[in-house]
Amino acid sequence: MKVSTLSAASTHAQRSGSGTAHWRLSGVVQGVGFRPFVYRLARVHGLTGWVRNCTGQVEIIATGDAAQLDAFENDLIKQAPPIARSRIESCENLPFEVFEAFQIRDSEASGSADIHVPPDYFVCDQCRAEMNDPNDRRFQYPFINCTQCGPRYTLIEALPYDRANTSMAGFKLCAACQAEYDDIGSRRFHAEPVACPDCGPGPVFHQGDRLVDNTRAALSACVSVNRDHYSPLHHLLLAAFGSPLVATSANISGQPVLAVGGHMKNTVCLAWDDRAVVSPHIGDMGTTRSLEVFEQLCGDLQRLYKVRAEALTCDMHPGYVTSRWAQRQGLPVTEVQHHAAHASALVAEAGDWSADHHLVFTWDGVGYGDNGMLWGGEALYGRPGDWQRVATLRPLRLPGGDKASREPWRSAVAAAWDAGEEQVADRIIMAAVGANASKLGPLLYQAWQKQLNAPLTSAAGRLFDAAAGLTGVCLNASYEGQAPMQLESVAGKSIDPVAMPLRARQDGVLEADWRPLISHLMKVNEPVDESAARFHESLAECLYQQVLEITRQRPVDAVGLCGGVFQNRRLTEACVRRLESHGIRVVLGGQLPVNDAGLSFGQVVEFTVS
Amino acid sequence: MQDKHISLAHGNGGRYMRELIEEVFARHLANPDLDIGLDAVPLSLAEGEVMFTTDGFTVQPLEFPGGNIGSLAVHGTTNDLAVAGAEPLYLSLNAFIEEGMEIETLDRIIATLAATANEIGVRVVAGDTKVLRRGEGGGLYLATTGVGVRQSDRQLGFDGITDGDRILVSGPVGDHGIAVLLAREQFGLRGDVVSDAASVLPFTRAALAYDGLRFMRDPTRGGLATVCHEISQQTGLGIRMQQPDIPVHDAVQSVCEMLGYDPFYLACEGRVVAVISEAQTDALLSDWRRLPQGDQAAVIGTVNGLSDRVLLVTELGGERMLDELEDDPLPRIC
Repeated sequence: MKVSTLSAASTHAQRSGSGTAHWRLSGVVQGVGFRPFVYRLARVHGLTGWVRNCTGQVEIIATGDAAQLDAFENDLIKQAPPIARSRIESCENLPFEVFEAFQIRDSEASGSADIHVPPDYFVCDQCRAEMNDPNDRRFQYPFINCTQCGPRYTLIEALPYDRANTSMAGFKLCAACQAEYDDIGSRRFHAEPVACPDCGPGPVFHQGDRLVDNTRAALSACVSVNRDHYSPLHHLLLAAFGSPLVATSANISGQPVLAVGGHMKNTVCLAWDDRAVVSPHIGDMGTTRSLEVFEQLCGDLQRLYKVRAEALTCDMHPGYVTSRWAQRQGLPVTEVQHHAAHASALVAEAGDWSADHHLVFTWDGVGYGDNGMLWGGEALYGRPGDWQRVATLRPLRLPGGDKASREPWRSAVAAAWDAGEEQVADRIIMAAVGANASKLGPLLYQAWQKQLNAPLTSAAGRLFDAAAGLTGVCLNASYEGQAPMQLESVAGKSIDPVAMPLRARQDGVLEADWRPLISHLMKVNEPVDESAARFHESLAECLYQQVLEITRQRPVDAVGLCGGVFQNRRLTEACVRRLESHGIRVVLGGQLPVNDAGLSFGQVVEFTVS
Repeated sequence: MQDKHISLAHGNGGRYMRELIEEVFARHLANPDLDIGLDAVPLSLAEGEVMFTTDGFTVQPLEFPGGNIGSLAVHGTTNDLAVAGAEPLYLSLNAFIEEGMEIETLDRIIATLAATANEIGVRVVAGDTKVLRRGEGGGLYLATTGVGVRQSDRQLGFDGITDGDRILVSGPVGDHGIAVLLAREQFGLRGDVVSDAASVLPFTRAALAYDGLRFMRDPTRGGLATVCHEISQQTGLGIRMQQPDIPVHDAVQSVCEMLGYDPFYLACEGRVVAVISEAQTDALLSDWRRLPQGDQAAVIGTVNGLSDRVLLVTELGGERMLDELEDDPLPRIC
């Protein structure tokens, strides 16, 4: 399985003299400015003929000298728009035909279902410059776009990708936008979602009975309301602009399957024949809105690709909204272990099927383990469909369960109690809770000792929280992942790691003990930038030592790093540096997010190979 | 009776057992209908439907701030009759006593049970005791069966619930769950939170005066959220609750926040959830608020025909789905 990338012409027709040629191109060729690109290219090479969209493909007929046609064909792939991923499906010579000019023709609606729905793209540099230019007519217009950026997937209601088949159909273009749409020299030539404050959609701010429908006033109202609640706005904006849809060509055979993903940062993935399509970002499944979007996406994907799922696959966690949803659908459901899905997504995306002996570190916030344990610091060994847990981190008992996700101080306190450092714990509770600390602190301690709502987790994410709490970098977070991000951002220059002992447990799993590191953070009075740097270096060194130990026992072809923790650049680079200097091949995520947004694809892979 | 502790002899049918029944149970529970010499008791009932229910009680610890297993055994069963629209009249009592239990404690519990029954006006008319071997029981288990009468024309149930009906709760939720937790685990905060264990009869009687009353339930195990799930599952309708409107005592809230519990899933033993037509909501609310223990009664939500989910609208206007209770809720986020 390999994510399809830009590929050279797969077919080539021999030519001489003047002639007429016919190409069909597939891949991500719609909604990426491909027809305007072909149009301009044909003009550059002095060709006549036409280009048009048909369902899922672009069709080109051109007449000219053989040399011009060859050069044109070459440039079709070489100079394609950066966000296009095209390949030439077929090329044939036709009887010589004379055209007056080169034209973009109306789309052909019929065709196969082998379609690629273009994803939404984040705003390009040129559009961003316009958006920030007070003299531009799209100054501060949030729905600015061009052929190289803006929404696609979100707007598409049917294919082919024409304005009439998108949510923009109801917005009639103003004269200025129409002129750009028709101007071959414009970045917005045939940009289907083109819009401006005069003719396009605008943001509306709604709170209770208050309605603000002026673009600028609405944005500032929104910002002022959300100032203290950075995360919801932040996530809304991310959801609107950063929603990647990755279409891969996968060696999948058998029945169509829909993978419903996880719980946080969720996506779904539909797979059939040799295709797997990952949905845009849905987000945290705890809200009704996200469940509605989730259900809509599951339906839309199947409708758009004309594929009906015959099986479902979900996470093993019984409390995930998506798992519960899957169990209600009346289709066969296959549960996939969280970290196996992470590891398989990584290996499959990398197209790394040849190797049988992967060692993948799946470090994240939490996932339901094989034995009902809460995992998140695991190393899995093997290959998709056959993963074996070979290493883990010493588990931490989390006081207050899920509360710890937004309250890093809980992880810090748990680590301090675990180390017998009650005074350190008291100090942190005092700082985090304030007035009631003297009453509630002992209560929490007793609950922790009695294991009341204090589950064990081996998640690396909680160690980051603990370190952020112990160093005072972040005690309470207002969005997920805030503490680790802040810890990374304050980390200073490279520094010696603290060694973490490894021991083989009775079940053969290697367990790394973080207590020396935590104890160092608690006891040694060093500047925060040094502590933060030492924490990152120590975890990287710990991972490296695990790899060395494991390679002594088994063959390892490559080491993979995935799970949300490896969104941390400092940690990832420190790991890669160590591994590569030892000559170990490292596999990292590419187009798919390494966090839980990649789970759905990994579930498909596990389902397919198991 | 000389012994300070229960022994197996107190269950063997002989003198010890007779003394225990006479000196502990009969002494406290004496009433004109209780005759410990009879095998069965004749009851005369008023006009209406005979309502019949039973419940078992295994709470640990046996005594907690705001009540004990004795008061709970009366409230639990009579409250079940009350929310069904009945007037409770008679109880039976089974006591399973663990060998080694202090007789003084047992005496205190049965005294409370009797006083609670007296207050409500129900009579314990039949009973039995058994002694369990040491280690086979949690000190004392009780089971009570209740008989009551309901006016024949007063049908309550899920069938009458319709879109737009309002949901009321008679007081703050989660007190009992937290009070028992604090007492059971012998936390230092014992006493900060008092169980709400009480009879809900004053509330159910007030509610029965309204013909728009659809349904009542006491949110015991699984708490308010579970009652809402039951309503939603049985009717196919959704429920929207307004989080800021749901009364929760500050002490309960802060313990819940600290320990990571959700008060909406914690047991109450003296609250009622009622579903009533929109038109009669305000009237019932003001009736309830005039009752002792009713000053924090509140309208907390609406039956929503557009959805089949139980939703919590938060202070900021966000919507959170309230999941059905798991055996043991596992972290999903961290």
